[in-house]
Amino acid sequence: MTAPASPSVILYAEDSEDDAFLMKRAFARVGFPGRLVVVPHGLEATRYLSGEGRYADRVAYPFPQLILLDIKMPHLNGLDVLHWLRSRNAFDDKPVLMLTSSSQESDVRAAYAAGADSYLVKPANLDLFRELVEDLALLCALKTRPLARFPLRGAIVAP
Amino acid sequence: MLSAAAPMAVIWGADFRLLYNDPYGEIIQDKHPSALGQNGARVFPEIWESVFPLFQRAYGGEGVVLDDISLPLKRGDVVREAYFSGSYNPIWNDRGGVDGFLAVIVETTPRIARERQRADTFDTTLSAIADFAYSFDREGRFLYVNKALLDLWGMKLEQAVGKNFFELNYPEALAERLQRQIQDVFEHKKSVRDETPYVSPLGAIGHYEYIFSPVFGPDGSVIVVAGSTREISTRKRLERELRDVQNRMEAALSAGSIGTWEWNVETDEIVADRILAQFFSVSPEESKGRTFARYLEAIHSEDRERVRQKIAELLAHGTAYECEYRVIDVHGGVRWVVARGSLQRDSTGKPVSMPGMVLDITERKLLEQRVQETIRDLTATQLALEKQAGALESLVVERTAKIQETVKELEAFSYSVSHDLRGPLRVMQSFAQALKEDCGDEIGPVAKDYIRRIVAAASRMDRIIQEVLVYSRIARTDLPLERISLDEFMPSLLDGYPSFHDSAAEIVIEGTLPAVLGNSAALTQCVANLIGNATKFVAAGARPHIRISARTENSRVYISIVDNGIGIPKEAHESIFGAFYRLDSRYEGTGIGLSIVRKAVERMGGQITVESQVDRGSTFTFDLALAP
Repeated sequence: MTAPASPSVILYAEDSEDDAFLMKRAFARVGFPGRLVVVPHGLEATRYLSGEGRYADRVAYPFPQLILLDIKMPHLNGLDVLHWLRSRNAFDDKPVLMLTSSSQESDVRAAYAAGADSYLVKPANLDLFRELVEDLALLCALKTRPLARFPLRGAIVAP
Repeated sequence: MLSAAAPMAVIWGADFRLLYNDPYGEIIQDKHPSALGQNGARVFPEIWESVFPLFQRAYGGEGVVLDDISLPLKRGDVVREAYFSGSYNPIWNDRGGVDGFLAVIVETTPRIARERQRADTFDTTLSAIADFAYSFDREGRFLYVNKALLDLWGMKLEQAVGKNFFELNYPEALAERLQRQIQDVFEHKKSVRDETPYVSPLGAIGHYEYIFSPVFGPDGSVIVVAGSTREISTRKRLERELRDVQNRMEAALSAGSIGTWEWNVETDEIVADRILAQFFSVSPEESKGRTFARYLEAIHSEDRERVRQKIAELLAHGTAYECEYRVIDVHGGVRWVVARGSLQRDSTGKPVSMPGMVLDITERKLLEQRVQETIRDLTATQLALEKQAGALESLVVERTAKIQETVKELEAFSYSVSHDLRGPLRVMQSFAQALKEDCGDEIGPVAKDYIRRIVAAASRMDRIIQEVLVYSRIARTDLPLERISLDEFMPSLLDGYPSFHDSAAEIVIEGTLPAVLGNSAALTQCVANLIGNATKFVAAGARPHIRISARTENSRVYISIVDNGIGIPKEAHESIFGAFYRLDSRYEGTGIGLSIVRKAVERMGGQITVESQVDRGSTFTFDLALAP
């Protein structure tokens, strides 16, 4: 368990600047008690998580409590990162949420099969962004897995 | 001249060069065409000794007449007896000299051969045949009597000649009748045919048919009456039948398709008729007695051993002979024949002779072959067709799989396109909203109204895309049918859509509902869309009343949803189910809802109908299978 005093950090892998901006905005508006770190693609997410290069500085780049992954991304996509994460014991206790525009059943299945904790469709408006950030804040308070029964609004459950 | 029908040649100059027409060319056969323009000594070396003096005479200005002159020409590598008649006529030039001569000739070889044969065979024939042959003078006295008749009488020729029937001790009445008939022939110049029984002086009893025929002199008068008599069976009918058969045989013989032979086994001599000789490429001269081996030569090499074997077996033990084989004629042509014969043995069982016949069955064989070939062709064609059909079938399977794959790809493509459209739309919508929230102080009411419109349009577009996605999902995904209890399904569905309650609609489920075979996702789309429409399309200020009911008929469950809405005009009853059809633009909607409903019902094996009148509400009814 991470020390309770440490602020919550969420790593968000997202290639769309717009989505990243809107998410950051929602975090600011809701007053999320922690940090949102955005990386532009899956490969960067794995570098961050394994502390490569500048990410070795865990003060500047703290280890996250929760990981949000877009699916469609360059280099490594969200599902690739998910596979990568779940093949390493070090991240076993880290909740991983897919946040994507795809509600395609094949993607949902693949995500849950690879060990995603939840599957969220990107918010369609600012109100939904706000709801999502509120839920994420609650989730961070739980700090660890499993999240099976956690009532995330708008989540697509495993088929 | 050269086109004349008679064979003609101009023999020109001192070295007798030849120029001739086609008929002449036919006579000299293979000497043509090299004979054209060639000198006579070169053309006719084999007869030059005979011809040269004649040519000289004609070239000397003398007309030369040829009368059955013997000129054994070499034709086709063979020198044969040949006879010619005709004339050589000198051609005079204007200086009074002879330039050459015109030869007009006719080959008389066939006639000479016929005449010679006739002369040769006359007496031997008449003495050999079993028939009686004879002739009378004007007084009815015998001029000639053949051996057969002399034998019957037991007389010698000199004893018979010069006597009439009375003097030969014929019965009175018969002698009178015969005498009268002879006189009739002399007078009327026509043959007389009759028949009579007769007992010979030696006691032989027979029934005889005879014919007396006139023989004309050069002045046209009858000089002699010739007669022939043949013993006939008393059983006339049999005889006539036999004659019929003979007639047919003769017809067949003259048509050249049946040849006959007689094989004297002891002397190994085969006597053949003209047709048989032709079959086996045996010359008429040879046909009077060649060996079995000679005939075997003409048989096709592939069949020869088989025939030899057959004959050997027949000679060893057997009587009836029948064999089909091929013979090769002089021109190398192949004929199929069937040979039939009957082996005669003496009292000790030793083979003596075998008469028989050979029938040309080439046509039949060809026909058989053609039938065989046709059958083979047909079989091959059939096989090819079957093969093609097989190939076609697998091609169809392959294409179908490809098409299905393509359709799947297209569906996946349109699905992901629709999806990808939503991303930018969300962003537009969110930023429009953010603009209002974050910069609200800096913009006026007009700008705020514009922002509201942008947001509204974006969210409408998002709904459309979502519904298209729903439609696409309903249309393309597997919808396994399961048992659904409507009594449980309907209330929980209504609970799941809070908007139904928000609109203050009264929704009533009438009676108990049965269980159906359906797909819950598809059925949810159906019912949710229909109820959604019912709550939405109501007159301003009116409270929606919706009744849900079901009846069962022939294992089908008909589910009806009745509303009190604005109704649908009759002409739109079909088009409302089309995609993007919107009945009334005052009401918000995507125009896809009823398309989804119809597709969902159809995918579950049912149909949907509507009954409605404007301002009188609508009833939508769809059917599903009753769960067993």
